[in-house]
Parts: sequence; structure tokens; C-alpha cells
Amino acid sequence: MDGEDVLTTLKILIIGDSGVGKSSLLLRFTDDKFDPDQSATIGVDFKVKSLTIDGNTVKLAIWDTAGQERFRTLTPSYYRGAQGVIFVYDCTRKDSFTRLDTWLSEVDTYSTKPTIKMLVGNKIDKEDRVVTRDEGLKFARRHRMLFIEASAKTRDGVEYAFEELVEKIIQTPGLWEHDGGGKKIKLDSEQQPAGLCSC
Amino acid sequence: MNKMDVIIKDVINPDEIMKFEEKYKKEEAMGCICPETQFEYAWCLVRSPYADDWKTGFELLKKLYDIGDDHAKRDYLYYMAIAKFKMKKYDDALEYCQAILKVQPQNHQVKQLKAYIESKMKKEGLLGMAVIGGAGLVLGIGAAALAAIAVASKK
Repeated sequence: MDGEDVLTTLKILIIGDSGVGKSSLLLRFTDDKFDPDQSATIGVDFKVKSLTIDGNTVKLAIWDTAGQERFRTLTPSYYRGAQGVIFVYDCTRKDSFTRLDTWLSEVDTYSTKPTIKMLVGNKIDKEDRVVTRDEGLKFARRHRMLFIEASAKTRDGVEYAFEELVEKIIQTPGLWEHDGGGKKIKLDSEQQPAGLCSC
Repeated sequence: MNKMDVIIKDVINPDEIMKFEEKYKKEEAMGCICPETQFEYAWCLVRSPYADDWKTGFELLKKLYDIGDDHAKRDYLYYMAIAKFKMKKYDDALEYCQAILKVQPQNHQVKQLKAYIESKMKKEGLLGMAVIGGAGLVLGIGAAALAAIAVASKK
């Protein structure tokens, strides 16, 4: 892809309890793969992916944080400058849902600018769910977060989670800056005619 | 942007280092350092912009590794590898990666780090030496320790 066509680079964080599927959601999104034996993340992992929304290509720099206790005090040092945060819980584990309050206050404490927040209830493919969709939705509304239920295993909702988040960031004035000069956001009405590749 | 470049070159804010240093020194003065505190401080040091800090960070991690609980050993090794890489001790860095891969062969973070170290060595014309040197594990990461990591990774 031609670097000049990239509108901006956005920093996205993925946080949540250990074992809720943060890395699996990211692996599904970036590589369209699922690894049932995904090992626990060491510290932080980092992946890059380009995404085109409404004719605008943005580069996502995604930081996937370890959920394990050992890393908790230091992962906030990675929050700086993030424009979007994905909070993940496991629909089959109530504790991962109740801990969202802690994650939220941590982000509010350590992030250096306003962020767009997306709540993702993962593992909806499993039958032993204990957190209902309604509970998730209510929590998201209360905290002005975007919301989706997803399954990294079956792909359900994964693309949507990232696309919605990015769309919301782009639509929010002051949250991001142009990488290069001169390129304007394309509005829907200005999109390339069909048949022409916009990348 | 190369993924590993971003991870390796990521530098922690010095304020952050001082915060965790203070906590560490306080516990040190009281004669009882929690492993958590030591790890936090070591991790900060490995991400420091100063080369001296990498060395100190490595020493702290090595001590944790030697006495540490089994569940954390993989994580200590990973940051020991990063510290050694930054210190340009590529052979050691590779060895730590290989020790993890023996028990978690599919760990993509470690595979990436290993490939990154190898490409760096290739560029600097050092790879051939490493292959010979790497044959004998000088670290003393014994079978017991490896088995311990294996248990931890099944968690």
C-alpha cells in the first residue's frame, strides 16, 4: 500500500482481564486466524493493520496488553496517546465483567487525551454464558462506550468492533491529526466511482 | 514500520522509572523486596533510554529467574532476551528465546523476537558464530526449570 494514501495512524489499546481473548480478537482481526492454544501475552504485543473506511485509509497501531496481574502496574505506561481503547470481557466469566470498572478508571487516570471506548463481550460461541447481552449493553451505555458481542473463534463481530471504533475516532474532531499534508477526508458523496480502486 | 522495531525501541518515560525505582529502593531499605516490585522495576529499566539501566534490569531479572516462581519464568526470560539484545549480546538473547520456544514452540512473540535477533545478526555478519555457540546451553537453564515453564504455560 502506498504510504501517502494513509490519512492518519491511530493508536488503539486492547485491555481486560487475563484469558478473556484479547490476543485472539487481535489475531482474528489482523490475520483471520484462531489459535485455541494461544499462550498468555508477555507484557505487551504490537500489531499494525490498515483499514479503509468510507474511502479513508488509516493505519492502526494496536497494542495488545497482558491481562496477568504481574503486568498490571506497568501496562498503563503504554496508554499514553491512545485514541481508542477496546475493553474486553468474557461472556462466560462474571469476574471479567465486574472488573471492567477497574479497567475504566485506570484508562481515565492514565490516558493523556480523550479516547473512544469500545466494549467487547467475547466468546459468545460458548454455551455457558453468564453475562447477558443486555447487561453488557447497559454497562456500555452508562459509560458512553460502543458495544458489540463477539467471538474470536467464529469471527462474529470482530471486524465490526475495530471498524466501529475507527469510524468513531475519525468522526470525532480533535482526536487525531493528519500524517501527511494535503489529504482531506473523503466524505461519502466524494467517494471514488465504482470500479476504481481507492488504495 | 517493523513491529519488532516498535517494541524494542519503545522507551518508557523517565518519570515512570523513578516512580518504580523509589518503590524498589524503599523495599530494599526495609530489607524485603517483593518479586512484583523487583519485576516492575526491572521491566522499567529494560525499557529505559539509558544503556546502563538495561544491564541493571537484566541483573534483577536474572535473580528473579533463579529464585522466581515457575509461572513467571517465561516472562523473565523474554525480558532478559530483550535486555541482552539491546546490549548487543545477541547470542545470549537468542539462547533465552530458544529456552522459551522449547516449551512454547508456537509463542509468536518469542518467534518474532528470535527472527528479529537473527536478522540483526545476519546484517552484522554474526549469525554463523551463533549457530556454533548456541549448541551448548551455557545458561544452566536445567530440565527442571523448563518443565516448570511447561506447567505454567498450560495454566
